Amino acid sequence: MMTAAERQRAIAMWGLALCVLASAAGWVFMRFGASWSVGDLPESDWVDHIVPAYIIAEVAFIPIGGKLTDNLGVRPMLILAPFLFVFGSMMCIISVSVEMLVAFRFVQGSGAGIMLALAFTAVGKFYFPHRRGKADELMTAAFAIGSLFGTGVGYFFTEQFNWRFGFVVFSIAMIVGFIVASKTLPEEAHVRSKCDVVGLILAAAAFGTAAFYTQYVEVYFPLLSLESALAAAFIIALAALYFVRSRSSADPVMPVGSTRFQKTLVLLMFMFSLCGLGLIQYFFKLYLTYYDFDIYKATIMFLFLIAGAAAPSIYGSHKVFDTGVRPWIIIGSSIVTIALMVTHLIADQGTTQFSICLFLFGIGLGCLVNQIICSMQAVVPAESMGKHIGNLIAVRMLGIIAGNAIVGAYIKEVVRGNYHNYVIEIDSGTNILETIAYRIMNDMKYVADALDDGFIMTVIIMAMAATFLTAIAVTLEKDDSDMISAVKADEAESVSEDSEEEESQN
Amino acid sequence: MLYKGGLAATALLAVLVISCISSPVSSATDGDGRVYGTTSEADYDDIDQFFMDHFTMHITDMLQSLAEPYGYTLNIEPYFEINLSLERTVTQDTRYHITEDHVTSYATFLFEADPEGNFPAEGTYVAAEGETALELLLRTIATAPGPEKTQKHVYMRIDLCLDISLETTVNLTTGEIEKSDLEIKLVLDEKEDLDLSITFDEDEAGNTESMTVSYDHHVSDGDFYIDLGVGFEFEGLRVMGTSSTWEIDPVLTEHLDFVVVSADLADSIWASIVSDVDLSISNRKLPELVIRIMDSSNRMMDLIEVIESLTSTEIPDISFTSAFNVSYNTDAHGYNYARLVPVDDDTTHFDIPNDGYTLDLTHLVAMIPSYIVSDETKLIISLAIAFICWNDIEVRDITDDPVEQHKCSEVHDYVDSVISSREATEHSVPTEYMAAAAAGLAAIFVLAFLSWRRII
Repeated sequence: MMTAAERQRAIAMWGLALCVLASAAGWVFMRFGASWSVGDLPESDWVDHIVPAYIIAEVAFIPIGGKLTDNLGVRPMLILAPFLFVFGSMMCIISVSVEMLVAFRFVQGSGAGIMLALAFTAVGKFYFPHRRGKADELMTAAFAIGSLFGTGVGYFFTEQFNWRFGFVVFSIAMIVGFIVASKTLPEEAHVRSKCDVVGLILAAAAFGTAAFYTQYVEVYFPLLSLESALAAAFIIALAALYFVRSRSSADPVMPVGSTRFQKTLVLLMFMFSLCGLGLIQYFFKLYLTYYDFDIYKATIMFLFLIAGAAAPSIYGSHKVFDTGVRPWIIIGSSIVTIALMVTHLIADQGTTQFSICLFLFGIGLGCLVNQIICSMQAVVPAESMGKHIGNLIAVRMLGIIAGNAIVGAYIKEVVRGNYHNYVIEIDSGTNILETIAYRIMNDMKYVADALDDGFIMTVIIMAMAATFLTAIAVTLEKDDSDMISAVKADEAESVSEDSEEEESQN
Repeated sequence: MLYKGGLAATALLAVLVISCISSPVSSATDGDGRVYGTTSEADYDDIDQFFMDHFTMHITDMLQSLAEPYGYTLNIEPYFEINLSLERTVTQDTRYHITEDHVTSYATFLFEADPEGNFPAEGTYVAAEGETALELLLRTIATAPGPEKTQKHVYMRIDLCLDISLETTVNLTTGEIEKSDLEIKLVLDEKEDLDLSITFDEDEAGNTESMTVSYDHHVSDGDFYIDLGVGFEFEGLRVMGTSSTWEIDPVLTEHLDFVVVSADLADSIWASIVSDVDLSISNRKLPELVIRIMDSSNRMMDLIEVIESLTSTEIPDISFTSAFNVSYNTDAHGYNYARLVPVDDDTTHFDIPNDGYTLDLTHLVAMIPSYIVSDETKLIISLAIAFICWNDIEVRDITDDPVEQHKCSEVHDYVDSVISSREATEHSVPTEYMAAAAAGLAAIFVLAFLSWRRII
């Protein structure tokens, strides 16, 4: 039975989860057809920057949000993040040009980035490790629901009302979550310390530029080009500066001096996000082109993904402190690989088979994400929770958008590469319109077949990634043991604290 | 149905006009920096005068004389006006010969009538075996008059503006047309106010099955707009050579640059496609989604952009090929042109003129495939064209004729102003969202303050 304090803390987490949902949905709800949905604004070439502006700001401000949460506390960040998000959203609503919209999408995204870091950091700060599982699961689920269903919801809003309506709805969600969390958040020990401003700027610049690269490579410049090389070099230089600054700073923004376990968890999170979560848009497009150009039905399909991920995620986020993270990595990456192979074999045979593939894929995902987050929270001190978790979440987001970019470019290449332009021969008996119509309709089937055929490459890549992840995981035996021991010690401490609290209430 | 066929004919007419006036290089240098053009206009009075001259009767009187035996008074007030401007600018450097053709036209068709008579009862009348639509209508009027004399009102108006631009590049070295860029803008306003509706049902073979008569008051206001941009690349389209005849087997590859349409037009065209082309359920889903998107906002959208954002794929190019015999000719006005005759069908031809040219619009109408515009509609359109003498339009050299150039500009400027007003889009933020934004900003500022002060 929950105590009053536990209940209040749980309600605060629900409030934060609502904010996380709004932040995640804010990224994707304009992704589908941004150019035609804002067609009532003056025509502008900047329309292609509406979605990237949000993403770049979000990724850039995640590490800032994490570090500032450590230095200033959860509550001040809980004011700043919703303020930026709602302010940016309201200014987007009254935008009279695409340029203005892009600028305030950046502001909106900055609030979202701070909120993502804040939410997971708050879990780490206010819960003992063995009790973080459910709260982490709540945040992860909120993020997943917002990301997966935001596209369909955004399309619904644009179709039924106006593209501005989505900003209103998600701002309301953010405000409600903010009020709930604000009223019920536990008190923190006084935390006020100066921040390394230069370090913060470098962190934002490094992550933001990396995010910028993922959004514009293969769109404005090819992957293998001088511009791409220069951009990559610039990112590396910024990352190096960020690292050097952190090494020399008394209160570094980047978690320097991390243990091997912590570094491995960050690497695993990035690899998995790159190779796994980036594939979700592939499933989306596969459904649209193969079965039904119904965005609502395609979105609803992702309920199967959520259903598959729920049980292993909830169970695993608790059990990880008994088993360690290693078995979950091995099992999760293996199931994801199997799910992709099954998808290639049967996903085109019917919507039932398609949903089975998504369900399997979800099981694999559920074995990985939350367990990595919980493991990281278990091995970092509470006073630097924000720095570590902010870094982990930023890396995860970077992995997702990089995976999206790679898969998106791959999809285009698969479709374009297999396309053969054939010539219609006209004679006196040719019905040109009918021939053209027949040709266009066949092209859609071709796109679906090409996507399905191209899927085998993703299976091969994921299998290679799974092997790599498994090899890494195997080396974590001792680190896992250390983590489990640390969590058991925390658990004993929390039990005694609970007893004292219960006695004082009685 | 007649005017919808006319709409399709007009659009295809425009394409065929352009296909017949793209210019190859001539071996002489007289095509360098020249302007060719002409204007033409016609109105109802011209046609009425033609009837007066040939039949000693006005059109309205002639129609009334046809209706009188059936006991009807038509009270017709037709109106018709059309203006056309054809311009061509020819420039040339050492390698390329470039022609820029600009066709603009605006027209108004108005038919208003207050017929009086014993109209047949509302309902469906079945056609006899082999009976045409006209025969069925006349038989019904003659044999099934209503019990009392009534008056109906019929008002139909169409305002049309057309702007076609075509730039063609010819390689002087090979004598081949390399590429063309075509843009077509069409604005069509259609208004109807009818107390009388007569529709005919046909079987699959096109035979009239029945006629439905209705006296429900019907008002409609259609607002159609299309801006279509297409790029063409040619291989082997040699239109100049040393011999007088030769064979070619060219390949034309088209690339759709943009297709901006109004929601009204998208709905109408899709309805026609669905009725004329057999589509499976899965093949209808994407177009229906696009139509739904357009109807939800009722604004003009680029279909290419919408489809590409929905599918993440580009609209593929389509290539066409056909074999032709080419010959050089000179028309009655002395203008040279290359005539392309399909190898397997010498009953039709395409003329590609040098510089100035003579335009026969009836020939262009005849080339429209029957599956696009019916033969009956084509005949009516051809007769109308012949009435206004647009079967022999000379596009002559007006480089040194500022008066004719000014007349061309007048037509162009008027069409441009109509189209620009249609393209203007209101960009204001809806009031309810302004209010929501104001409320949201106030709320977040207040909440942030209250939270900072630990009040909440």
